[in-house]
Amino acid sequence: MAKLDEYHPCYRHTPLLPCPPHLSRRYLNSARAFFKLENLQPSGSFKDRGISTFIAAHLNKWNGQCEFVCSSSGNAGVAAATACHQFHAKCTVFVPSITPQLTRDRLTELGATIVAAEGDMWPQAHAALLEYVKGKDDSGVPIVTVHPFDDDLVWKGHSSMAREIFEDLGGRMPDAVVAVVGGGGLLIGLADGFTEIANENGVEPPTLVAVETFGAESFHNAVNGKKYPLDGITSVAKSLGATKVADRLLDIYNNGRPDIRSVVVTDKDAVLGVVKFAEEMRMLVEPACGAGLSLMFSDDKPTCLSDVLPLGLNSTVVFVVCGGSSVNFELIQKWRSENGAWPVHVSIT
Amino acid sequence: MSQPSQFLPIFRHSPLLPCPSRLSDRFLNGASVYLKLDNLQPSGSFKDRGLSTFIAAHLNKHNGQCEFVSSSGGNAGLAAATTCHTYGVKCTVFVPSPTPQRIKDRLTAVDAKVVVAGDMWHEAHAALMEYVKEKEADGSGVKVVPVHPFDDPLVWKGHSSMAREIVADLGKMPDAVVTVVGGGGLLIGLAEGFAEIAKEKGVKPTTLIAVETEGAESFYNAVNDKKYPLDAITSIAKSLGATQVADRLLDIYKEGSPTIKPVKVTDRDSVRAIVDFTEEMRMLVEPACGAGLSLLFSEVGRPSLSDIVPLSSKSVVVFVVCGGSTVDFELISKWRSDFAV
Repeated sequence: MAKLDEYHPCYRHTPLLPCPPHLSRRYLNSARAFFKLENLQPSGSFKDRGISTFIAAHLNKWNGQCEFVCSSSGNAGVAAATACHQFHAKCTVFVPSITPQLTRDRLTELGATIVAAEGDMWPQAHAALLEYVKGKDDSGVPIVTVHPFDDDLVWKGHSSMAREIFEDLGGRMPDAVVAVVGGGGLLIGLADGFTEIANENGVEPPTLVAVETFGAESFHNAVNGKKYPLDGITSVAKSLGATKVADRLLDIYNNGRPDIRSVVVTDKDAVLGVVKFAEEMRMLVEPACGAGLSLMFSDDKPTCLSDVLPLGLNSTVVFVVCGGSSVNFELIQKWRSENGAWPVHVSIT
Repeated sequence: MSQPSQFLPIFRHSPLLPCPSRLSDRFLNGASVYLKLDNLQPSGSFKDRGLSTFIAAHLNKHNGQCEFVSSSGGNAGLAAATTCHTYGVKCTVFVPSPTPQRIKDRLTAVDAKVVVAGDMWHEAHAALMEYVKEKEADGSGVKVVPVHPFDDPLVWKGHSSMAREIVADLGKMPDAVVTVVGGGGLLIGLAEGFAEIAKEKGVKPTTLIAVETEGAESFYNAVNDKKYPLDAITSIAKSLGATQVADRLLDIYKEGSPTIKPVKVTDRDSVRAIVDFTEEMRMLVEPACGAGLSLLFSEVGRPSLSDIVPLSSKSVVVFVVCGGSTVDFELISKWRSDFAV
């Protein structure tokens, strides 16, 4: 029988990898840049932080006697399944019909039960989950719903990333952190985490650059008085596929601290970010993650980081490499051919 | 002006990442498996350990007043160039003409001077030796230091740091470490490193699994009384492309401690492993690196690590992910098509 506090979150302190100086010289005006390698988390994305924190807390509360349900476009479900697999807890994942086969296979391998909702958007998968929870007999084992981004415990788990970055920079705050926004869970965690550290140390938190893609720009629309919630997700970056963000994110934004800049890039940019990052660093990430990285690979591109904040030898920027499972060779070849040829390498004269 | 010992090697304590348990359950009798991620080193491969140790030592010896030359159009050249770029010292890399443009661009991007000489490695190397002779004769007083890709005690010392990191991160000696063999520099470093730690701790050193591909099996042939040196490299794993290994490796092998087990895999196994590793970990590695990782992803009819060393759920195994830059999407597509993977 499990004892109280026996369950601990299963995320890792990931490397803060220095960006190769020649890349920083070329793309970032020689700013000190780092990649926070969340792709090395157990389930392949930063989601492990928040989701395993949530799941561990509930298992501790119920002495291990509860089951979990989650609605997800992929990575949150994989994170939930990974944590439940680790803790020998039951996990049922409700996914939209667009969920790639890759992700479904991974979930099954982790021992999760998958239920495919009718409909290709996250809200429909989530509605199916709520129906399931309502329909279950009250006398059974408690069913705990794991929200992919809108929960205090999830934000608390994600906020651990801020402290790791601060420590790995030698107890210094970066000037900016670039992260992508789906439902806003990561951004809330970073905002909370950096604000706490800023208050402890009497310094300012970093500017958070909140990147989305056109076709998934819920946060951008919310803070710019445009259509909100979105009607649908039309971006290739499915992991950013939340038609609205957690309300808490909008509160934080309106408070003005930390400074949050909303940036929107195209799908082509996002895929460019994936391909360029893969070519330079030999790590594969999803388009959602590539969207943030695309701010770095700014040759011939309209949107780049130096539009958003001054970059130079004295700036320190951290790119969150959030990771994600839905990428492989076939997809990369597909994206490369669909989005037209850009140079595989650029000859330097 | 630089002071002695001002130059420090540029390599990092790389992550020792636990491998997903389902892989180990499937293939390795439930052993605890770890991946030593040296693909995250500054120039993209473990070479940074040995070569930056070598370069730093020479810079310290000559008070920063030397330049370096390399005849590697591969990871050793990149490591030398990256190290020199970090220190702001001159690096010239002599490469044969088939060297991919992408590699030449990477070298130029880190301010190395790239000289294309001849069509084969030995011609590029001859050009290097010519340059060294010219510079010695020109009276400028600048010392020109050739950086050997694997056959130097300083290089081995640098590589041996990997052993120490592994033991520190595990809190103990692993049961087996799987690595690949080109000229043997890494294997020598690991053998020396683990032997030293074993002596300090009064334990048996780990067993080293030394993987090569058919068509680049110089070490395997040397210790099995087959054709040695090799006539040519016919494997796609160009980074393993040394027709003979450092003599020191053969001495270590004969000494018998640590135990070294040479293993041969095919190019197809390596390409299969590249694909499997990308699926699992979303990191791209070269065929040379894939060769070692192929023992992690076994299939029916192929060698498995559990055939080579006894493995149980109590065993601890480390796979060295040596990294390497000589891979891209075009090459992978080509190899997948060539080998029907």
